[in-house]
Amino acid sequence: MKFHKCLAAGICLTTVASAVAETRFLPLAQATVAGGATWYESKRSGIKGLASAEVTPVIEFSDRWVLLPTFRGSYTGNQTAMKVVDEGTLFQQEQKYGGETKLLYRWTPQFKTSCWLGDETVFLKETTDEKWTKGLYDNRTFLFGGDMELIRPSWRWPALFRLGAEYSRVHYPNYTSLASQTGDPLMGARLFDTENTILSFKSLVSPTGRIQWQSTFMGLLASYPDQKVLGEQGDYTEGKRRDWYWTIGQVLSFLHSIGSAEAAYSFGLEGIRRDSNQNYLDSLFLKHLPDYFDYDEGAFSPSVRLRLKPAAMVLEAGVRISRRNYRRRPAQNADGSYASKRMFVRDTTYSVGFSSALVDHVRAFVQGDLETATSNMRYEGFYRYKYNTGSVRTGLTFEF
Amino acid sequence: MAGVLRAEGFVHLAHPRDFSVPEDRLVLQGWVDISGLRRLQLEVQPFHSDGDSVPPRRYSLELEDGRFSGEVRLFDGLNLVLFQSPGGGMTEAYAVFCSATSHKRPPAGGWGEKSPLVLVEPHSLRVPVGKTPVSGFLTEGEDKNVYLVALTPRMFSSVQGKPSGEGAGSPPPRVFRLPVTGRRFEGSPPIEPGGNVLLFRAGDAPLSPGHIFLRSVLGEIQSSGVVVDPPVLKGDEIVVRGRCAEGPVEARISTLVFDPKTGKIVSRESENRRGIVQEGGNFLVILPYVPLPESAYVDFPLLRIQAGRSIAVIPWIPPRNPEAGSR
Repeated sequence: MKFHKCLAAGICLTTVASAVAETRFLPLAQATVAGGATWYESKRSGIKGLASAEVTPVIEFSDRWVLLPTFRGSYTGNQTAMKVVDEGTLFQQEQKYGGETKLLYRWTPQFKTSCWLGDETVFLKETTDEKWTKGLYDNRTFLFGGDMELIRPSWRWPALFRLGAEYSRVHYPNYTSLASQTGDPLMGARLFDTENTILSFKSLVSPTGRIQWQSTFMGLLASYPDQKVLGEQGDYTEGKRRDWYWTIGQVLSFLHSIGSAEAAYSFGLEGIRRDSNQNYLDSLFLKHLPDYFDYDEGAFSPSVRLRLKPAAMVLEAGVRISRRNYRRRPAQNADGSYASKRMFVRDTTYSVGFSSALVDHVRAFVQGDLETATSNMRYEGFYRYKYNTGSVRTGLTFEF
Repeated sequence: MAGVLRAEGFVHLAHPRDFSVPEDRLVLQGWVDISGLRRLQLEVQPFHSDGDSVPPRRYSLELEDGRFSGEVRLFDGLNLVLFQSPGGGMTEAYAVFCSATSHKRPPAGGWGEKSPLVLVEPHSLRVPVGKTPVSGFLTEGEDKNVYLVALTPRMFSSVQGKPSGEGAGSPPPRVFRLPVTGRRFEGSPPIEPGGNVLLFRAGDAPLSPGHIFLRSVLGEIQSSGVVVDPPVLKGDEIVVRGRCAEGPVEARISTLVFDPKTGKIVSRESENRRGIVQEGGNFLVILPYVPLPESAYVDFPLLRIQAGRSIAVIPWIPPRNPEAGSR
């Protein structure tokens, strides 16, 4: 018996020792420190700071087993318009902390699978006097998922295919509906909490060395476990809100050499469809609006990146033009009365950037963007649909 | 730079599709598995030089959703293309052969004459295909790494024959960087059926061919159910003997042949010949021998013997003077 135990212990020790001997660490890190200002309808904010850091100490146990833990954190002092829930909201400051651990297994050089587990906490300040951790939209995401990847390098056009699935749970700890606070249990309390299931597919095809074509498809089911569906009479049914998102994306990239410079052109097309079983009751006009959240969105995003090779300078410019058509939500006039046409929102975002290597591992950058949103929605009692906003930031990026 | 370069890695090349490329301007295209990486540093260096110090060419590539694409300039002959994370924590390398002008300037001096490298494994010329252990030591110097490029028969065919077409040869192989500990090193390069050449370079900088250690091995498949003796040429026949666990036994011979008219390399295969299996499992197969000019075949002919469910693939080295064979 003792002999068997010694043998087992010996085998275990040998296995562990050989695994340790084979293991290699690949430390990867990057950090950004920047400052900048934002504009909203020609009103400029003061100069504010931004900082972010990400560390990935990759642990490669063998040719087959790899662990990729990632830790990240960021602080944004600038005003930022974010779509945290359905509509865009302007936030003054943001802090984000999180990480994920991915375990990758290479079955063959052409086929691999991976699974991951992650967590992220976001603190948001809507107003400057709000306290950190007390923000209404503070949220925490827990997620896990897995994918499989197949590479076909010997095909006429080398290709990569990736099929993945992910589950995530987003919790807003500080948000409860006003109705629930007054003791009304009908609507639900944690209205923003969601459970999301994502199925995604990606393919990357290289017809020639200078052309790449990426296709993505994603289906997402967002379930709201504490948000009841609004009935036609303004009553809450027993059904819970469920939103389906379907996204399809295509990106075609070309590489073009111009002397000692290189230009990379990219053309992106994206289509998004949202189907929600939730309706809306306009309490001001007592109007029931079915399928209020359903929309179709299309976006076109061409961009160019110019790389000056000897100087390691990069100049980039791009634009994203999108239009969202609500399928049943009517537009409203300035006084709130309903128009006959369906609502749409058109958004154009221009972005430019320049970066250059300063010393080893450090690059300086300047970035700017300008967003213009227009809509046939004239009523802006709660949200703005026509606005201009922009930002400029400059800073240093450390890459390791 | 430290750490071992493995047979598998995070950087995948979609282009170039061939180990041998005809021009010194090369577009590299592919993707990286690590999602957090935003930039790749590239270093192109010749595997060997004529003795002059050659500074490597350095580039920086932005990653977009893991994808990269960029043009680099190669040196004549065999190049190491190193992909690194900005801090060098991740380093992976591929070997690319640039045939643009290398035929005009053959490397001077004998290969390996002054190499400080002694190989302990593999012991024999014939080795099983797949990942084959190699080990050795350095007799002098304080080099921390040994770079190993394993050139397989398909890569040779790409170097010798194909002018510019894409995809018909073999993709650029991953380069192994073997750490030297106590002057010892070891690795497991992939070996394919036929003639393979292992090139070893001690240190991170290009060396003259005299300092590059070169070792040829013949990769063969010998499954447990069949053992093949070295084939014998008798007149215009190749006599193959061996032992097998079960019959029937069939054999054929395949040769990669360069056609100077088309500039292409084609695989020429003989007909399947059924052998005689005696009691006890001894077998005999006779294949026709069609002599080829030495310049015509680009790798040693491969004998493929199927015995029941077992298979053996062994390289056969034809005699230099075919007339020497006698019945």
